[in-house]
Amino acid sequence: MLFNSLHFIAFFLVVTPVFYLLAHKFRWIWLLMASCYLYMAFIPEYILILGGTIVVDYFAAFWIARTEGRQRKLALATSIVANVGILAVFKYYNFMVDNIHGIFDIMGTQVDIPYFNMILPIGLSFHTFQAMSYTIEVYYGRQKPEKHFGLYSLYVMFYPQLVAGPIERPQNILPQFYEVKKINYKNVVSGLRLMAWGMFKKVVVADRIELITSQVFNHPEDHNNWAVIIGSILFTFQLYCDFSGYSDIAIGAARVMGYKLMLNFNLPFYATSVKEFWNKWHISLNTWFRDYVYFPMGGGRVAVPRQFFNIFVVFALSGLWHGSNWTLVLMGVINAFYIIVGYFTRPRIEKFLNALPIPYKQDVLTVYFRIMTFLCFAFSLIIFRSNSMHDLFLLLEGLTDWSDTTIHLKFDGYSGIWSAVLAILAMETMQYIYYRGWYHSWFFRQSFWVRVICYNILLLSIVSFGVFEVFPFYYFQF
Amino acid sequence: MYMNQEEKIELKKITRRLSAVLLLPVLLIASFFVLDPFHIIWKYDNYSYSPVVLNRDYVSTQYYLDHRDIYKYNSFILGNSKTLGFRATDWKKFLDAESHVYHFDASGEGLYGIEAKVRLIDRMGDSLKHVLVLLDESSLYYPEETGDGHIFIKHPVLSERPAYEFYLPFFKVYFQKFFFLKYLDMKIFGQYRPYMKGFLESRKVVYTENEGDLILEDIEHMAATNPDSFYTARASVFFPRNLEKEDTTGTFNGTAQKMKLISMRNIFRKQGTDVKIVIPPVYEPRRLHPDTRRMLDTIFGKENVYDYSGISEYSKDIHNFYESAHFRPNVGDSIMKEIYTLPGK
Repeated sequence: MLFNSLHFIAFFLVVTPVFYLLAHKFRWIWLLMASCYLYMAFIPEYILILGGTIVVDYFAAFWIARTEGRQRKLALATSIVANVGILAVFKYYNFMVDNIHGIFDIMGTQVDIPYFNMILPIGLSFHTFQAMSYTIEVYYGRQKPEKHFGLYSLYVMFYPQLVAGPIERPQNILPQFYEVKKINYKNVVSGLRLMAWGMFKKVVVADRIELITSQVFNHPEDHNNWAVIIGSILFTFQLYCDFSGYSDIAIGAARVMGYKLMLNFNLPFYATSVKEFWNKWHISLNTWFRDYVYFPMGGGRVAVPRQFFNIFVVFALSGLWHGSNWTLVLMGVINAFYIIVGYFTRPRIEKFLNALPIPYKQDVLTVYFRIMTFLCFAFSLIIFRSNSMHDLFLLLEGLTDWSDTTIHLKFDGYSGIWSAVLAILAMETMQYIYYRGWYHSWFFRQSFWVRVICYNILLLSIVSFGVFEVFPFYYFQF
Repeated sequence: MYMNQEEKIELKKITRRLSAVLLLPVLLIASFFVLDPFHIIWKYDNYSYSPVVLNRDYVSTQYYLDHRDIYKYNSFILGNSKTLGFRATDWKKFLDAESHVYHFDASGEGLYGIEAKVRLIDRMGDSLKHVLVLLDESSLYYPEETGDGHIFIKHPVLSERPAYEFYLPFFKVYFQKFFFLKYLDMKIFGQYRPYMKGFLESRKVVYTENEGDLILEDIEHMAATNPDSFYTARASVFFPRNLEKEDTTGTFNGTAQKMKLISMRNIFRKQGTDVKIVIPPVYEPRRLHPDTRRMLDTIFGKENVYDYSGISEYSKDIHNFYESAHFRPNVGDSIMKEIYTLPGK
């Protein structure tokens, strides 16, 4: 059940009112049933896998809390192995087999390890990490084991963030399940508004751009220079609108019921460095890696070379989290490289630019660093989006081939590219308005009927300009 | 309902405000159902002069279902939009007085749709006394359902799929690219404006009562009364062609095609149908592949198959066509005169 479908809208319109009609003590049951229904809409049998890991982690938390020393570590390891094990089997087994075959091929030996042909359970990477954050927090003593099995299950399966995050922390979500959620006008309206905005980003912007970027990345042999540049820049906006759009729908749907999910995107294209960028992009995943991998490895408390090593490890793992492809690992490594290079070069560049006699220096420097950060990220997305290393080489080769500058993209006349550009401009304009605080200072001061007109413009834009080709959310594949 | 007084006040406020926000969208949704721009919700006796391009498969099927008891149809023209050139009203002349003709075609109709219609007629207990089937390259190429988009999707009674799968594409199209705005503008002011091009129908399309023929009234009138001006204005839709050399189509005699054709043949045999298979004239100099022709001969009998594809007296003259895809009724009339006097060609 995709969030950008009539099925989900119908689902939401049933689940939410019933939630409020029920007494508080029954609401968790209703939400859990709804979450099971949403999960089983993909492949019903996989609920057993999810159920299995929920049971393991539920009991592992008590085991962790009641033990010390090696036993405690063993309990945590059990939880992590169970979760990572499921991930490894479904997500990485075939990748490992491919690599083993490759190694033996290089050695000139034949080996035939069978492949595992099963579809990846939806949202596996997300709810696995969310479940692990629970047992890790219990291990560190920052979270008590949740006695209520139903509420713990709901923590893992809460439908707005079940399939693509945000990856929540137990301290944020579990207490909220105990709170009596009263219907609140502000929550309902702001939640619905956020959902509509997320839908706009997804169907009007992201899916429109997909019609162009898929030509480049699915047929890299046919495109070079300008097409690859256009494709990578557009894909950057596409990925942002797709993923942040989903997050907005998830956060909005939860907010309508009074639940507060963590922010997952915080205007990342306004970042002035790659390091800052990764504090604003997919915040829930990056803070997960920061708290549970980077900090335990020493974080910023160790010597600088060791910090750099830690950064490489974290970003490589983050890339690998996205999928079983060396291109994804390489994408992570490239971004780690940017951060490390920035550590040395940024102060020098700033010093140099500050010495120049430029009018409105601070503004110019801010814009300059934002553009450079964007372009660095866009380049790394060429790697991210490539279907294979071979495709990546073709794209990089095409990027450097300037013998023919004809753009071999089908734009559907000019309407395709210009409608994508207009959609991006509309989205970025709204984001800029939000960034400058004008949204709050202007919009909420308008009369109710002016706001009604604005909401109707948004809704009509979604239905009239939306591309309803049913492209799933990009991050659903992870 | 477990709500205290404070929550009830909040709920009332939410309901009032949401109702105000959703008033316009709800009215627009209601307009889809009330005005029924695609003529798929309510029943109609006459589908003529619609400002919206209708789904021909739906119109022809629904009209048949609604009027079969009245008109007792027993003779059917089947095929894709090329049957535009074969009017049931003309066909009547070549049949006996007990023949009640119906033009049962669809846009982009393939073997899937034709066979489904034959089965439907048989299932409804109606007689298939005379059948005229047009089979060209495109209809033979698609033996399975394609039905992509609201213009081509099959009537639920033919596709045997859930009704919502049929209605949903129309609902979506109504709201996309501000289609509803163009439609409401036309509905209110009754004027076709340039910005409606590609969304609304600028031609006068008539569906005859009883026989269900689709007639492009204004187009046919212009072509008949002022051919020079008509064909000069439409020069761009007639692509250049080489009439010195005839191409051949691909072969379409796969298992899927054969199964559909044999299914139809079996029903025709059961009903003792007088069947004529016509491979229509085409603007391109392409003849149906001999292997495909042989397949049709084997299944339906050589005496019942008439091939007018390739370079012929009909295809050479552009005045026989509205544009490169559809020939005019004079062509169909002339062909029917031939096939109802001569055996297979």
